[in-house]
Amino acid sequence: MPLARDRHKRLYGLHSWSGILFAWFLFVVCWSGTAAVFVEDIVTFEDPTLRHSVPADATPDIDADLRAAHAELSALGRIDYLIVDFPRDRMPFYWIRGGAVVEGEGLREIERKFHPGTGAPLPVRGDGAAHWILEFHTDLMLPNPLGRTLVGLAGIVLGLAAITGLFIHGKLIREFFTLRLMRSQRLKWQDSHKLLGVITLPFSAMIAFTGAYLGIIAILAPIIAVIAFKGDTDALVEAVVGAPLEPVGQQVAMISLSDIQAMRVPGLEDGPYRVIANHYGDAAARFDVLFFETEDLATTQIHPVGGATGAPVDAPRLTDPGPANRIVNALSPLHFGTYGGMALKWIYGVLGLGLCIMTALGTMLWIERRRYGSEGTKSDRFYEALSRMNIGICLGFPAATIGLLGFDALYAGAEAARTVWTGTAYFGLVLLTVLFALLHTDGYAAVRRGLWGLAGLAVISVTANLAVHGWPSGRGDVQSVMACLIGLAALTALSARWLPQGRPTIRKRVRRVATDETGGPSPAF
Amino acid sequence: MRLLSCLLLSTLATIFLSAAILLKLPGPFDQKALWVSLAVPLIWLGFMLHAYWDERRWRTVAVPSGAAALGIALVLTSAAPQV
Repeated sequence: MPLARDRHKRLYGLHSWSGILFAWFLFVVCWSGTAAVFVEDIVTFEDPTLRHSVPADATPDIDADLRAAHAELSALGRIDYLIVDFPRDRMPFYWIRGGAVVEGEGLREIERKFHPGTGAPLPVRGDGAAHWILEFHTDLMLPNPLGRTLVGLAGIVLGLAAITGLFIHGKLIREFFTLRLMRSQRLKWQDSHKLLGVITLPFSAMIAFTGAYLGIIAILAPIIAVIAFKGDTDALVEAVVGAPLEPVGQQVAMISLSDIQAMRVPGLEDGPYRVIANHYGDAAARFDVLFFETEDLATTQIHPVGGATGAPVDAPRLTDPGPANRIVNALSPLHFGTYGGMALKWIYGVLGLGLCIMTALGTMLWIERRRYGSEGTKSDRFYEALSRMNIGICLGFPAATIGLLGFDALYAGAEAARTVWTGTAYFGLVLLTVLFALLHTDGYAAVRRGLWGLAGLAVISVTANLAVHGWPSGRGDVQSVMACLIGLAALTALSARWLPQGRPTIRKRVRRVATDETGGPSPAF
Repeated sequence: MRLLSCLLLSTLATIFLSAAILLKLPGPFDQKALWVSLAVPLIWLGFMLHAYWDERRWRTVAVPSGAAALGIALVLTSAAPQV
């Protein structure tokens, strides 16, 4: 159905301003999300201690370590959480972590790692590139719920751009086959933007919805529920998660972690991967034992047992999830592509890259039409600065992510300071790339050199990892990250080779220029 | 006016309408809360798109304002949910 001319114009305006106003933000979120798809593999890529396998049937006694962690947390204040992760393929160690609310200070967290065979304490590695890549995508490294909400808003903007794009570029089939590679650069960008929009439409719609849900719901759901409960937050919490478990104050011995590790659930292949200890040491303690689901889009089955007896405990909200829970539980695997193995991650990676390129092309088109076309009312200097900034951001964040993988291998400082230095390296690389782009008068040359730089960074990162950690024999996940980096290096090098050396011709600009009161052109910015 | 509706009124309408739906829909509260939370991004996008879809400019303000007012009225006249 053809759209009325006025409506088409309005939707085009909405598509443009929502896209342009948030383009850089959207690009950063899309790019970090594309990298975050591989985060489980990057963890093993960066940490060689995770590359060994878990010894079969070895269940060392770490109950004493759990009791020690519990005692340490109790001395700090009210225990907020206490979790034990059992060794598995991607995390071959016992991992005890907990948090206690210290009065006047807030939450203080501890973590301990133990060898899967011997139970000996392992050094705790600081959070490196993988942690940064994931946290930057989900929270922008900002406190919760601010960062999470902002990322969720990117999902809403992406959804809005996808829907309006669908309406304004209504001829999907024709645009799918339109790629005028022999025409002008701007037409190539335009056709590529539309083609990528059509190809990635189902993917971007899914990413927009799941991303918006996972992001904004952290802040909107409590607001909506508090309004419904007229401010009674205790009643709200009880309604959603059930009545809180109360301790009885009688200290008793807890069941052994090796007994929990030996638990099996009919229909599930593996044993538990995690136990959450509620009121550890108390007669009313409950252990929520978590198993990976065999259904791909469901993540976890929870089986609560008594902490003192090990007998199953009735907790219907945990054990009998309804259809809504199943849908909500499926959103995170759907968003991060964790439900279909490495092949699916590669598909997600390619589509995510397509989404990034489409966003960058949209911004380039918008600026180009104003800098060298007949649209826009700002000065040349304004659009030129915008263009350079766009190049800096669209090259800077990929450069920072790729460079971070090499930096992590070369980092030799204290583990406690790893995250700080990771962040410094990340933003340092972004800043350097933006400066590099701002100093270039010819955008084409800047992009060409920048792409060569990206290819070089990817090769350096793989080389640094190999030199420091050695060849990952038998680790398909690590080899896959390396293949991904080499593939990216080849792609960017080919693109750099294919691009023109510089802007072909500077055409004279024929357009409206905003005038100030004296009738002269308005100043830049 | 369309921009105001798209950015501000659509947000308010989504929040209050969703709260009202949460109160008025039958069924267990925890399940209802999840269904409503799943609908929130779609409701919000719907109001945003409407702001630029509708021919009449006054309607782009009236629809989200009316929805928000209806939501507020339903919340204020309803008892707190039974858990």
